[in-house]
Amino acid sequence: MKIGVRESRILASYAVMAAIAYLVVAILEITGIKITHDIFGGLALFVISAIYLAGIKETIERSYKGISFIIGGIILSLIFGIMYLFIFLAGILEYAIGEASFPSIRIEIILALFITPLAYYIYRVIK
Amino acid sequence: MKAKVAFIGNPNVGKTELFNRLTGQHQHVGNWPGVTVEKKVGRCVCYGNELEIVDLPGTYSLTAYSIDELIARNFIIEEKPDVVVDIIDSTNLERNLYLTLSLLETDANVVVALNMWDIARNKGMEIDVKKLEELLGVPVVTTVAITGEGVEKLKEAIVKATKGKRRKIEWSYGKDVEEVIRELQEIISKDEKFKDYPSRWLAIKIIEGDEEIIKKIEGSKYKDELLKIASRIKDGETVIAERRYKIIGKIIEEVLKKEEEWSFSDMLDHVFLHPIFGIPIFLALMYAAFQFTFSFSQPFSDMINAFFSWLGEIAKNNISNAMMASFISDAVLAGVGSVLVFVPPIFSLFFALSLLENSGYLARAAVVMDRVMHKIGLHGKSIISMIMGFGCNIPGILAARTIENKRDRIITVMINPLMSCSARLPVYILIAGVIFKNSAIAGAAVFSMYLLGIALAIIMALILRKFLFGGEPPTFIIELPRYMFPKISNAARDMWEKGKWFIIKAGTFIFIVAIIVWFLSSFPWNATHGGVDIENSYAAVLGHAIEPALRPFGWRWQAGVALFFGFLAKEAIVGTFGALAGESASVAVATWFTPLTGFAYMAFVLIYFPCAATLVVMLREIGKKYTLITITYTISLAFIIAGLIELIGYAMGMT
Repeated sequence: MKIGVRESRILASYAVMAAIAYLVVAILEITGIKITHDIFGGLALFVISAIYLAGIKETIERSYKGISFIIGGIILSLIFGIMYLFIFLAGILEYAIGEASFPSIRIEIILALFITPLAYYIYRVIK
Repeated sequence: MKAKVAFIGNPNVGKTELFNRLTGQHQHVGNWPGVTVEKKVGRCVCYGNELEIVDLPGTYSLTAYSIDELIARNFIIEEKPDVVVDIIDSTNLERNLYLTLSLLETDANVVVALNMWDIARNKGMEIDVKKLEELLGVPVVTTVAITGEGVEKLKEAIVKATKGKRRKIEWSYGKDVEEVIRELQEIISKDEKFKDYPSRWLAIKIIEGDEEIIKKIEGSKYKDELLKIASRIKDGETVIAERRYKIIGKIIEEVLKKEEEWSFSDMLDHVFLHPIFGIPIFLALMYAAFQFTFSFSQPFSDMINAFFSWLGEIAKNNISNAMMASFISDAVLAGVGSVLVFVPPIFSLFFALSLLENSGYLARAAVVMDRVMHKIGLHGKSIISMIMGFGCNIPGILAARTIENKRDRIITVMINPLMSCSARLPVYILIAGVIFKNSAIAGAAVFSMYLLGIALAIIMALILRKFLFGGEPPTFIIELPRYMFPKISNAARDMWEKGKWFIIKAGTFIFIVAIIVWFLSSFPWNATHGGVDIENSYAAVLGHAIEPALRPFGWRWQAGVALFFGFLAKEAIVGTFGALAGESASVAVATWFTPLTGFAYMAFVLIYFPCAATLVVMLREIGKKYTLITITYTISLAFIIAGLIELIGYAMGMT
């Protein structure tokens, strides 16, 4: 089963950008440079990056096998983004009642926002 | 003419619907002697022939792994029905043909019903039915059990099959295996004892090392010779399974003209069950679940903690009787507070696990981990028991009942206490939250306890398998549910169902322990100056008695008292901390532990003893001997691992 040439190129390009973005953030989290030091969190982002990368070749070849990896990557990106969003909101609640300082936004939330257009596009392609 | 017809097939292939279509309202349900598994018997008059139709339990193979499979197999081999109708899910030929090939080896008079034909059609699959008939040597009929499509043709095929024998087709398992089969068949044919068994099927079963068949050849004078020949094929069960799947692959190549299009589920499975990415994805998702458990719930726990501290202060300032004020503040309010403060993380954990379960992922996690589990001598179903153990070890241990092999079941039960149950979570959260200031590091520390538990369970399973039990676990087969977008309302209901025990059972227990510990730490009242000078209390006497065993780890006597109460239930540890420390367990923990000694203490709590309730269930499930072994190994392992953590930490310059 094949997808269109144009669609496959767009998906592959977006997946490359996503893979690079996640890889960079993963390295920063593992090393603790500039952002919160979180080894396991960094490793999780590294896994997401690898999944995006794994699907690029087959997406260019217009195979649904390639798209599978991009979908898998999107799901994980959204899971982590939504999870940290909830944690952020809980932190705001604690701040509101004066029990803690204002929470910082985890970069996973921004990455998930960056992935959202890709999620919408792939939904349209599959449909 | 009268004939006996058996219906057989994998679970969920529409077998019962087809059975009902043929038998109408004339069926009745009867029990097999000695077992609880039901069989359905119905009658049908087809074209002047009276057919007695027996609906056998759903089975994936004819290897006697479970009682269901044994029943189905014995019926085919021993009762020798006139016709066996093998019902196949047309959309999953590969898995279903495994049973078909096994059936054909028994020389049974088989008719294949390709059921769910409409779904296969809608998925764009094109199956060459004539070619399949030719390759299998048996009639093949397409059916749609729900609508009744093809049922008349099936009746015709059954009646026709009762009047003649099928064409015999044998598939080659490869030169080496075929040579062994031939030699075995020669010996089998010499023994009168086996005259009722199909010789080729029996030979294959001996190569597979089928336990029931091996028992059957025990009394044969050719036993040693048979086993010697069969032993030439190493790991016979796997070899036969692999080659049977190769044969199936070739059949599918010829009959499946157009494969089904990739569904969304297939795409997800391609990634989540991937041989390389499957396990990292599983670990990433587990990390997300535990990070959510710890970090999302923390603000709520802090708020509850602050509320009860405030109430405690009010009680102390407004009750004139010092003993009563201490009881209300340090026993009752600290007790209730130490229960409620852990409701957010425990409910969050159950909510996250429920989302994973409802989405259909958790069953996939079992499949992914089976690859590792099988290598280390555990059964794939052990993972389900282990994952359930994250909630509570008791249902985890009970879940092991689904494991057919007794040895595998005992190993799974014995390692389950190493799964970090939710009662241990409050201990980790309390200690990690205090000794590691950064919440991400604290979350990682909590997660590492779960990983440590899994790692130790794997090591112990290896040791138990090698030195105590031996043997190999059987192949893991599981029906994968459909992927679904999890419903928040379902997850919330699951969360409440699973989490309410904490408030009721553990909550009551923690509360009682908190009161006992308050008494032990405040009395003799005068000697402790109203619970202020705990060094003079009964709790200190108990703690100092335990302290020598814990001194090498740098843990204070208070930690020993908590471990003592933890023997009864792990939940009691936090209750003890709360009562010994007064209103602020966090401040006390900060003075009792360094990051290194605190982390080692967390590991000790993870490993050191199954709780009393778990012990009772273990006794019932695996008996005294193995329960005693479990107690011994968990205590020894706790000292070894906690010691190693501290030694490595000191070597790295930590304090």
